[in-house]
Amino acid sequence: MNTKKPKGSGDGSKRSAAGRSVPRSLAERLDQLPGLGERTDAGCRITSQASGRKLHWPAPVFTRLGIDTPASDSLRLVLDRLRKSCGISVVGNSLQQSMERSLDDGLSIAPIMVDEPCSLRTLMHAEQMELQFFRSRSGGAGGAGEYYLADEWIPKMPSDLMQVEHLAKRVELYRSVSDQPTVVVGGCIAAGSIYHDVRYLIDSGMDYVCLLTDAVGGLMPARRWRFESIPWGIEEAKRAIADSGVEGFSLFLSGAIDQMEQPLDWIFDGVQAFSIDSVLASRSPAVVTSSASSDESFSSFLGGQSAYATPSAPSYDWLLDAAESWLTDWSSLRRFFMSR
Amino acid sequence: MSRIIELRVDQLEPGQVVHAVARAIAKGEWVRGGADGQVTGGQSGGQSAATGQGANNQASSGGDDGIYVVLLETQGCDFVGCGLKDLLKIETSASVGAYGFSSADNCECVVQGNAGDYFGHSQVSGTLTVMGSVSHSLGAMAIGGLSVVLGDAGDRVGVSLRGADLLVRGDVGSHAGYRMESGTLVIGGNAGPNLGAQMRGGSIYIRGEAQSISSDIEEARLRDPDRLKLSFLLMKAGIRASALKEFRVYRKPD
Repeated sequence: MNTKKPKGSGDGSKRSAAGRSVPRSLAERLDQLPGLGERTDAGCRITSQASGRKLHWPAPVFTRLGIDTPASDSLRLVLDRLRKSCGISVVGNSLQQSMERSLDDGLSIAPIMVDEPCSLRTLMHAEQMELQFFRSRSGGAGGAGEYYLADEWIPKMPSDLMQVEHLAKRVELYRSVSDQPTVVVGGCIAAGSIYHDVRYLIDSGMDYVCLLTDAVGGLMPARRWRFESIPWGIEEAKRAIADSGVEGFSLFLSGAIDQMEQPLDWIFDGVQAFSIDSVLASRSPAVVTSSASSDESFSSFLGGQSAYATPSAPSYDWLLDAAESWLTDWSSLRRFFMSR
Repeated sequence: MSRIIELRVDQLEPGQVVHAVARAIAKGEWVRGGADGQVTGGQSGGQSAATGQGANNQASSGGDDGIYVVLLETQGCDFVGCGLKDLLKIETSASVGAYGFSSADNCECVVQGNAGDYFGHSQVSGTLTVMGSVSHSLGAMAIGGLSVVLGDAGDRVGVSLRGADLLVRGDVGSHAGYRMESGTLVIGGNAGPNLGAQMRGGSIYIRGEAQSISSDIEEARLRDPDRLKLSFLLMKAGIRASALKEFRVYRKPD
């Protein structure tokens, strides 16, 4: 007796138990991204090259607002709530250490400006660290409150390191200082020689690279910067990873999201996690939302900041609403494709 | 009475000394000087008699209530003492590897031997003393405190120095003071080529000769504040005060 079930005919229809051809559901007929359905975890996992252990993210989403914009206490508070209530991982200064993190919380990623002295005590419980290969400027009043911001995202190498082996030793230092067994260390790079920069990070023993193709430089008003084409950046980074022969090296992307489907394409292309800063910036209640390209002068950007009147004590609660709303839509879309 | 803790570094994960010290303090694992003033055991057995004696001497001269940490078996170990803070006295029984006492803050550390690359990187405050010599990039990016090396130092001493004081009693390699932004570098011996290359601020005092001096700096007149600072640092390094007049000072031109 033939017990095989009737197979779909491949022409957009399938056969019922009675052998009658019925049209496929709308969901089945939508263009599928090959391989996407294999992903069953709503989050992502980053492999530590040193230990082989994996660090789990509850959602493949992060924000750099804590380091790309001057972080007031109110913004820090909201970013911490973003991390806990939305599962968004946050790159930022002076955020709470992740010792009390539940599995649903996003991670607090400790930034390390490569050309500034590093306080190792801030890394002692860090689950994830990210070297910022940018010129930096002080964002605090000095002393204990001293922190650094990415200064216009101008690429910068550490001035006290001469060889990739020295950087490898530095990465080993950062990794060893943390008491977290799954600690991962990555690097964030912006426009430039992406292929060689990614190879440099891989050779120095890092676990992932964050590619910054777009940056959000302020929220009140929202300002955005575009450095590189996203597809080209991903392609270059993937080529570098493939050529290195290193397995499990992760790719993050901080790029502009114009449509909800874009991150799905990125994930299909091999991006593990992406930033939603451009989405959050686009929902800023401030009047003006403008963007600039890297062709424009940096000074005009900074000059433009002062042209707008900003509230004396801005509230960032709208970030929570914007993030939750976007994540709900994203989760629905992702579930839709994952259920296939 | 000072309390003494001994830790074997070779039995720890690299970089975890600070956590081990914190645990030992929390558990009261004193070798000497516990609540009852008796020896209460330790991780080292009896192999640190000499160091323990040194620790006792230091402790007795350093105050009554301090915690004195002795790190044993540090040879070849990288990242020894990284991130230590507010431990007033700490000493290693032997040489240390790369990044020794990086980011140390308010600690008085003594290395009984040589030190590897990037010793005292990002130091915040306190005093680090190396009884032997150090490899390259001593005191890189250090923002405060003092590092004293009684032997020689390798290349790029004080690279990107941000305000700390460094004193090398012997010779230094090439590119001393490279990209230094502020702080003081005192060289008791000779210097290799390119002294002060790309230096942006701070002062370099040198007693001997430099193979070549970068055009980014020039010799300045030794003034009273210089003499005061220099005499203080020389005293720390055990160099006789009469040697003061043998030093020359170099700075970035105004």
